[in-house]
Amino acid sequence: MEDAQIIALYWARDEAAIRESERQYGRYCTAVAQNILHAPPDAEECVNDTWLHAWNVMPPQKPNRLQQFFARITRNLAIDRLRRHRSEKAGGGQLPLCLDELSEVIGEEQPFPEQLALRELLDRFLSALPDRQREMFLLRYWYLLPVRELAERFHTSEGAVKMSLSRIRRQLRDELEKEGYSV
Amino acid sequence: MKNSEKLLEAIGDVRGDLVPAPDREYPRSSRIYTVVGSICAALLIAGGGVLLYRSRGDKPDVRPESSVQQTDTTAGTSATQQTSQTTQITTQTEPPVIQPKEVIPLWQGMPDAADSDPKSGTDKITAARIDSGGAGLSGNIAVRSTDELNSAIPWEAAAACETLPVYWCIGTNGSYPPVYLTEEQMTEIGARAATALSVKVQTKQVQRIGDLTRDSADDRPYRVTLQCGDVTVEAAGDGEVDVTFKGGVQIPAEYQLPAEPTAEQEQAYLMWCAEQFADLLQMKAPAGYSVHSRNDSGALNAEYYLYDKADTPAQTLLNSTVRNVRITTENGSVQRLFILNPLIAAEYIGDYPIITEDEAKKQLTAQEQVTEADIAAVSLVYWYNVHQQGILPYYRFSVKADDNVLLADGLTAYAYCYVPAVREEFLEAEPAHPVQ
Repeated sequence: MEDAQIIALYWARDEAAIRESERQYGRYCTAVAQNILHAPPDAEECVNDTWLHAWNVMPPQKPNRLQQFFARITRNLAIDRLRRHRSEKAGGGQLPLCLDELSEVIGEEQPFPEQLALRELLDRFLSALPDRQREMFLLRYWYLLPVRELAERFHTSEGAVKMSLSRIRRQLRDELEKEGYSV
Repeated sequence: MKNSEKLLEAIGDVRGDLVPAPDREYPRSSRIYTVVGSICAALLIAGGGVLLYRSRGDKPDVRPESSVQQTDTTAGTSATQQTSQTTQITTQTEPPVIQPKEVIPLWQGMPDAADSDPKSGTDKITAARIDSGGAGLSGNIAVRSTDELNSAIPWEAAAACETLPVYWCIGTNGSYPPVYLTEEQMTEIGARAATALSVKVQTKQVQRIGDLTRDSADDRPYRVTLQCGDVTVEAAGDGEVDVTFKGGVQIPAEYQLPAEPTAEQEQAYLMWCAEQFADLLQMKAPAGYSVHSRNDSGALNAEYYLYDKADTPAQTLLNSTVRNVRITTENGSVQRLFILNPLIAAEYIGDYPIITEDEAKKQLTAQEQVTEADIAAVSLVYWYNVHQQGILPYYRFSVKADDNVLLADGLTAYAYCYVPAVREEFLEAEPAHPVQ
């Protein structure tokens, strides 16, 4: 079923919308959640919450691309879940590691760009990166994939992945500095 | 929230087309693979060229200019998909789509409930009662300030009327999708749209109820899709026409919208759209408005609508809320147009007396756990929803919701609550569908 039809089902308050969403995008969203949570039951719950959240916002929303729309919701829900887990017990997989790495880009004491300005900057910055670098960066910080898995995917060593990510973070820090946000 | 967390959150909100699939495989990039790959590619190109040359030589394409490939999804894999594996030549067994040479308004010559002679409504009608957006859940729309809840729908003049017209969707039976127009009518509407956009229909695909329900015996068509090069025109059973532009229609620099546009910028953009698509939309007095909401992170989601101003407040309200055009924009270009006209598949029931905004507010606060303080905005709208056959006016209240869990700081969630504007004595006792 096409996106427009699934969206129409949501707008019609037809529960078939959830079945179709699950059928079309369940696997994809599970992959997104699983990459972040590394716990199949949690990932499954996150994906179920995704459809519920989508049900909540459609209508009035009519997303252009459901895959991205669902993936974004799943990611946010998974990160929230991970935060809760983290506060309950030490550890928490890749999230703290990724946050540590990103703290190199902008210090905690600095004024932070407004979210919208930052999003535009990130869009510009990432669009300008070579495909391979951009995808490595987003697999790490969008999907929170472990460095080891990135190394396997890109057929390289963990050290090479860390080096590449470090270079990209430095470039991003330079971009932020150009915009007046000193680190 | 720490800066690194804010950055991580912002990364999650980058443009969707930049984000790779989570399971994407990356090829090895060593020299030997590159060389072998290049050789294989060269051989494939050469081989493909020979095959293409042979197929063209054997069977020249003799289709007339107006003919199209006809595919039908009820047959499983479409004929187009099957033939595209081997050759571009198809046997034309169905009547071709004949495009009009001149621009014709999309629904001209088809019965339009809006053209009926006025009469007083006497029959009782069913209406969706107060509904917080489905499933009893709230948090439908998030905004930074209540000003963002007020769109420029021209409703006050209609609310001052004593009566407003009510229509009944013939093609809707409480399930999706509506089936009313015939395949021929949908094809005709789509072909008119193609001509108005100066594109030629290349293929036609018919979608049937059986495709959705897996009940192959139900072959009623509910949508016709015409592929016209980079433009896709879909005509639906309830008169809706969706146009998708592959790659989009570039918006000139002076009409580009920034992330946080002003009302003037939005109006200028909407009027550019009205002019750009004038042949397709055929509006005598185009007007437009935007509806603002924000995503979980606070980024603006603006929806843009065009409609035709009419001679009466009632028709203007109808045009602005259910006979309108929604425009989606992405990356500085117009991507899709959703042209709605449910009255093409409806009948006129009559004019019914309506209640005032205050009366509707009293109903809302009496029936739901809503206080006046929770109500942030109100407007009068015609609300078309395939679960209800009636197309009638409702007061739509934006009511503060308590679902703010996923929202960024400074955002507040509101739910839409609808109260029928038709006087209570004309409404059926039972709601058309219960509040879930």
